[in-house]
Amino acid sequence: MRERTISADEVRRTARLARLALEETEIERMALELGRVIAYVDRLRELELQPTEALPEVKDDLTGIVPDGPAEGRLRDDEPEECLERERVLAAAPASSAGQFVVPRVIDA
Amino acid sequence: MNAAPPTAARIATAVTRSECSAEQVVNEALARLDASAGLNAVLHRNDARALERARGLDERRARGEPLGALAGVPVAIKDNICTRELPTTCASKLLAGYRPPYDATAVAKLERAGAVVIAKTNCDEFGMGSSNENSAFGPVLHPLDPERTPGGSSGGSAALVAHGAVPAALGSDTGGSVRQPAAFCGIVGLKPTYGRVSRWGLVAFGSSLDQIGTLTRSVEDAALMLAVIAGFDARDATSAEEPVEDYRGQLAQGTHGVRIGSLSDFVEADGVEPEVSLAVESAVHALREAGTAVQDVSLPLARETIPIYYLIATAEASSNLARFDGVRFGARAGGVASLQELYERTRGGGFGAEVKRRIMLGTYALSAGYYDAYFARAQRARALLQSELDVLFEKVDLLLCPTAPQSAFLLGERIDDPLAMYLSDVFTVLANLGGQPAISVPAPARPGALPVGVQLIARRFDEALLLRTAAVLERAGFRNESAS
Repeated sequence: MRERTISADEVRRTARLARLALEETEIERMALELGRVIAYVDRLRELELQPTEALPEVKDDLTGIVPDGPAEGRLRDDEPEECLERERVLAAAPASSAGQFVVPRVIDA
Repeated sequence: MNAAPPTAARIATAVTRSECSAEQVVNEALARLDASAGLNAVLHRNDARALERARGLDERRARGEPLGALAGVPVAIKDNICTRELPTTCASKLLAGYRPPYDATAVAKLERAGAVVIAKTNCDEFGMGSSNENSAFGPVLHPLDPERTPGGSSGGSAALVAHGAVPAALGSDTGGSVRQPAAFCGIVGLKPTYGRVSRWGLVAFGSSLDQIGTLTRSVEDAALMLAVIAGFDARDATSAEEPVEDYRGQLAQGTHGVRIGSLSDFVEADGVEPEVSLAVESAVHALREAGTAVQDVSLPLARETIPIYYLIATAEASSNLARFDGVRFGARAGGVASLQELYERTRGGGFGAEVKRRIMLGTYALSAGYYDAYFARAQRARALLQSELDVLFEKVDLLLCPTAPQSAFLLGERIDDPLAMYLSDVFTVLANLGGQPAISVPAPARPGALPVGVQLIARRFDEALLLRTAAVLERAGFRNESAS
């Protein structure tokens, strides 16, 4: 297995992208653990792959592995259907008011 | 409990024929649930509503109404599958107390067929783990040895079925989370074809891999459960419009002339216990006796499945789990000054170590500078693996390999070594990457040895042949001794 280290700064950058607050002790451990996993998955670099074709995930159906899936994707007709009850949905949220989810202020008054 | 509890098929027949009441069956199941409390397999119980539902079934039967294929059958549901009447926490602190506003399609179908949900089961947080130790509510214990793991991530469902509290339970399988715990606990675990069972209401982990599956003590019960939960659902755009067969009615047909490929070089990998190799050898013998042609086949990319799987699964997880941000569901961090801080502190404090690790790995693999080297490369390798599988399935009708390289390991043995834990999924991730249906059946019990499983993998949507072949093995002694 090749040496591969992930720096604490790379962990911090990735945690910011992932919207995860990590403690300093977590950052050190994460650098070590991620480094080991990345070193292992690096073995894929040795595979001979054809880079010319489009990535399989950009096919029209979600994964490209449903064999007879419709090529045009699945869109239902634009007809109103039964939907979730608003009160029940809001009741599951940590904070709601007047039929809406409440979050900290995002625009300065 | 003393006597072996009845299978789902027997309960449904007995209730339908008025040989016993659904209420009696559910009462007994609740007593068995009490007896299994030490396993920590259950997160939420449904006693009152389950009894009410059972009485409702008995009243309908008294009026002469049909009750369905699972009349009065008590079932348990993994806690990452939404239930309107019970909390759905995914074994995460972040979702403690969350009550979904709807039932998963698979749960609604079970109930329409007469099944009675009696409990939600413990699991690895968001289905991420192979030992059930990543639950925010403590690990599930193996029903035969409390120092061992029942496997994961559907460990609670497997332990409850193996212990006899319920004849059948739902789990989810993203990389082996139904089949591996089934193997560890000595029961039958079925992962249907990708798209076979609607995932509406299954909390998403890896959307190109996830599938709802069943844990049962007999192949017949797996067939019975699948026929109920399978089928197209307009609410899941990835569910397939493939006809659902009478799987149970075909179980006696046998497998004469069926061609099976044994992934023998794959199995010779390091770390496969002798007990597991022996189980596969005896499966080959039993299948040959039954008139199938077994040949050794090889899959060149087999050894790359773990890196492919862990890059794709974590990338998809990092995207899917973005929704847990403290706004719409569950818990929220207090004392925050901004929306950004709300997201970061809610997620940092709410997710467990393994979930954070996977979100980080997935985010890293998708991030600028690494996308081509990791995520895109894994996707291309997956496409290549799929074409290798397609070629194999031109030559053979089924593949045979172990379910897991070992029997149930000790709690704590691997929890500090994420990579060692990931490697235990080596045989199961294949069917998730390829989308094929796969089943784990228990090898014949050997005195003093823990259960191990053997795995069959079929062509996409050929669950009928998969289950028929599993039934052949079952008749040859690959069965849970308590399934009657």
